[in-house]
Amino acid sequence: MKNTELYKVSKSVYKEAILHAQLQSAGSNQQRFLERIQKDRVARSQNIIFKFMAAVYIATLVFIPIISIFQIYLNFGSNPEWITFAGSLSFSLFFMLQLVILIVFALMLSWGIMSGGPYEWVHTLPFNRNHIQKIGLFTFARSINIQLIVMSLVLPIGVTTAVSLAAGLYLGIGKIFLISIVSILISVLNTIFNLAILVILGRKLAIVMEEYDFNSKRANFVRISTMAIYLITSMLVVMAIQIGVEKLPILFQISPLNAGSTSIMNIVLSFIPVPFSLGYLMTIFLVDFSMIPSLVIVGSVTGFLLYILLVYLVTKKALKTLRNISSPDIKRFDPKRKKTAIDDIQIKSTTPTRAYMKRDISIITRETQQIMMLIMPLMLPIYTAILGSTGAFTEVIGNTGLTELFIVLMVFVVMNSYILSVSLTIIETGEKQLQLRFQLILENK
Amino acid sequence: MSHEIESFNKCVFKITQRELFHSLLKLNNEMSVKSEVMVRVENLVKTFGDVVAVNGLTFDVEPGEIFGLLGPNGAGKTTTVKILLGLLEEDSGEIEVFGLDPSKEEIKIKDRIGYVSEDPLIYRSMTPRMLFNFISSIRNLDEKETTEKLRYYFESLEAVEYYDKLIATLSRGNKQKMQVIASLLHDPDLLIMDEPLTGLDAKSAKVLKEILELHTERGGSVIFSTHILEVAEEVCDRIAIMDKGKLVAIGTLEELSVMANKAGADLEDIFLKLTNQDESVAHIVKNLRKMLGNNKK
Ligand SMILES: Nc1ncnc2c1ncn2[C@@H]1O[C@H](COP(=O)(O)OP(=O)(O)OP(=O)(O)O)[C@@H](O)[C@H]1O
Ligand SMILES: [Mg+2]
Repeated sequence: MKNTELYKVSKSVYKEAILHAQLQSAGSNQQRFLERIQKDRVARSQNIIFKFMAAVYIATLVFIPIISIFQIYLNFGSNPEWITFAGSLSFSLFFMLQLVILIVFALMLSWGIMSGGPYEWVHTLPFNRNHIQKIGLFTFARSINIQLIVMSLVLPIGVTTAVSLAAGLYLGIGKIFLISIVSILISVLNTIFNLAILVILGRKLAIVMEEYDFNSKRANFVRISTMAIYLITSMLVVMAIQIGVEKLPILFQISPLNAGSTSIMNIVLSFIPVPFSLGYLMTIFLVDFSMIPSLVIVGSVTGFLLYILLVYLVTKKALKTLRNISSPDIKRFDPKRKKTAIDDIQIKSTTPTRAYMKRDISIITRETQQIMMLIMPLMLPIYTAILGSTGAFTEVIGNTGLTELFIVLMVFVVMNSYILSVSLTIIETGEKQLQLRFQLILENK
Repeated sequence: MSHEIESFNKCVFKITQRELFHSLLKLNNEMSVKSEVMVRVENLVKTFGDVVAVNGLTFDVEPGEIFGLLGPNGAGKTTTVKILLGLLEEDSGEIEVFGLDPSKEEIKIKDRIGYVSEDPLIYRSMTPRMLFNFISSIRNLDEKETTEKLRYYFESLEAVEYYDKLIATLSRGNKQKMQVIASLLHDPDLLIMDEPLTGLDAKSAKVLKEILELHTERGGSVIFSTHILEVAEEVCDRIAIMDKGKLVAIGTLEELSVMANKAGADLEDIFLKLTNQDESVAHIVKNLRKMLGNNKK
């Protein structure tokens, strides 16, 4: 069977994976969710909206390297060591944010694809293993195709434009061309790395949420903390963007107290593959080589080589994960679990209220939406407090601008899918449950 | 009420119009299998961790027979069937399907098998319309012929109104109908059906049984897994009784009753006798009475 045909097949697998992820996060509200997607198209196209939002965010991030490049050339003469440091730092921030945004937007879907469920039926159709592996790969690529294209293009385009505008007259065509090539190389590697990380994380999430020991306390804890980390990360990324934009120019302009410590820092950081090596490599090509200590150049190149090695390893792991996913024996079992004997079967009664609580916790932790409902109210004040303490919040209130819009949109998008669908689906059932519980409490007394 | 009986009769009448059905199914010429053994399984073993799901299973399936895999819950029926399809990998043992090795000739084998799984695997995100178009494209089926078959199956299973509903929203029985139809469209030589009657109403069950019978009359085979004795007794030509992954007995109903030393006995007696459960059932019943009998309502 030809690859193009397999790619077509992957469309159906992809749709099934989306439904799987949506149903999974709808939990006990599945019936209502299904009713809803039959009726309204918005719920069905939710995923496409997500995709475009992610692409827009990833694209918008490019202002970080653009600002950096202008700052590098503006402050060129002042303190090369510090400029190298600040430039590398902001490029590294850019790469990290790209990864995090990709994950924040695509993780839930990646989980759906990584759960293996959507492949079971494909296995009964006339495909061989090789076909199914390819279908697995195509399905995944489909789920983030737009993001990936944007991610690999935006840096080279941004860098080349900014360099031409900021220093085109000094640098000459040859140097600009070289910088473009480097940025393409870095961008492609970074995209592959991010993709691989997403695959691995998606699989981990699928295991934690679906296959891990059902109702143990530990499993509940793991699920809640996974979701909490997910949310905190989403919040932090918004904050990082916010602070990044506000403070980036200042970072370049402050003069460090101790020049010696800056150069030591540069040397040390340049050796670290993630997240610094890419930033340093990019920066040493932007700043004139003659102004950079040779140890930093050695460090960047070494760090970059380590990074390539890392990309290779992570990609290998991701491909293996994808292979396992599309192999039929995917369903895990826990060989360590001991056999239950007749004496293990025992009833332990508590009060009805507590019984309800207990039941709810184990159900809730398996339902993403409900976990979000639990965590969200806690997150917002924390988030506001952090922003407030950094002063960034007041600045936002103070100067209206793009960043403000950015922040509002981001928070909106992250929460929208959960809050909206939860509130739409949960209200009625929630009400009934509450009544029932209230009754029980009363009867109990 | 009388209306229901009438429509039921109409349906049964429809089914007995065998010529029509035959001619319809025969569109695809004769079955490609003539006399070769359909499935050969020898010493099959499959474990999950420390659970031995299938333990040294050996059996053959001949062309033209409905072969029953009968056993209590957890006996290993589904596991066996999944290994035949290549959905699970065996630990050891030999398997041939149509004389081919499932690990090497996956596509050739899957081309000739129709599979109804225990839990429907068909895509919930599709409507039946999408589903059957998808299957037809993947299996390269003839448009006209398949349309004709599809209409026939939808009518006889009374599912026409669900053709454009999302499969996720169908009832269990209607999902089951969809996966049954999906397994039949490419006119496979071997049907592997894991508890196919689950969720089907009496009429649809009857239609399905009739379809299976016709299938074997045309030289095809069926592997029919079930834990329900009456169903096995009614549907299957030969029955393999499984318990805890092991083959307890295999043969026609008469052969099994000879083995159980109970001429003329029904399958339930034979089954209990052969799985050494007859005494334990009597024991369980006695204890149940003791436990529940004391608590008069
Ligand atoms: N993926 C799996 N992981 C662990 N154990 C499994 C898995 N699949 C099946 N088993 C175990 O293998 C044994 C046989 O299961 P199987 O599903 O084949 O039984 P069955 O005969 O089909 O039962 P039923 O009549 O209930 O459908 C059971 O003990 C089951 O728990
Ligand atoms: Mg079974």
